[in-house]
Amino acid sequence: MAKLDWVVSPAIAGHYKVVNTTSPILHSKIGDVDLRKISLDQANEIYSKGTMYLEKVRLKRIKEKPAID
Amino acid sequence: MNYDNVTNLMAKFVDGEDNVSGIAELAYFIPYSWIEDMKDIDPEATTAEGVVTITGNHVLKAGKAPIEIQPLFEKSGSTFAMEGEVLSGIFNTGAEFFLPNINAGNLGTARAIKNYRGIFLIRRIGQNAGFYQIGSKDIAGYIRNAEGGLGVGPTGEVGVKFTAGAYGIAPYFLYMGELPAPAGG
Repeated sequence: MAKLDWVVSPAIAGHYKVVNTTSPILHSKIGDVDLRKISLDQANEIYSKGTMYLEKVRLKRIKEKPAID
Repeated sequence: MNYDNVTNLMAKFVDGEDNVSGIAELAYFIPYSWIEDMKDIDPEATTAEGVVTITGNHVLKAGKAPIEIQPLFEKSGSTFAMEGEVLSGIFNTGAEFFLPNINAGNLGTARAIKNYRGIFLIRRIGQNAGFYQIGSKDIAGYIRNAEGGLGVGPTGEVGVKFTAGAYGIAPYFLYMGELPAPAGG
């Protein structure tokens, strides 16, 4: 995957990453969006309708150590 | 496809919608050979909208993007007409894209795209989602003609006019899937 020469909207950072495109403009199912300015609500809506250009960021689970009495 | 299961056939006028003539100054051509997975209408559709609407996503091959065309509004547009014998007609849908520039990029594009089969995606004025699609999985669209020149005299017309078109079982298909814009777009 080529590196993007633009910055993805901070609103979706940590929630989604942009994949399969290097273009900042996406003609999505909810209309045209600028991935540099997209809101989290828009990203959620696009994702819920099925997209191959946004991937959910999986949060790493930190295993809790058992408490030592 | 048979339309007996379509429950809402009706040709009606809708009040209050934008209804401007012409096409937006953004259009795309996607060659067949650049498409990894081309979607079509649902053969089980039961609505009038469903028999012309493509809801899946055309997936392009890695590294490919639609070819962008920026037609001049005043000299571009799209029409369709039926052809064929009685009760066995087919739609002939065309589009004209006029670009008022003779430059290397436009000339090179004219040279390159004239030998590709594919689909054209166009929009109406004010349309923000989806595209009208000319050409389909069944019958390809292609550049039927490219003409133009440097103009004649002070009032001549400079530019390139691409005439595109395709035969189709519907006047247009509505492509409501997603599509990345070309990197420069």
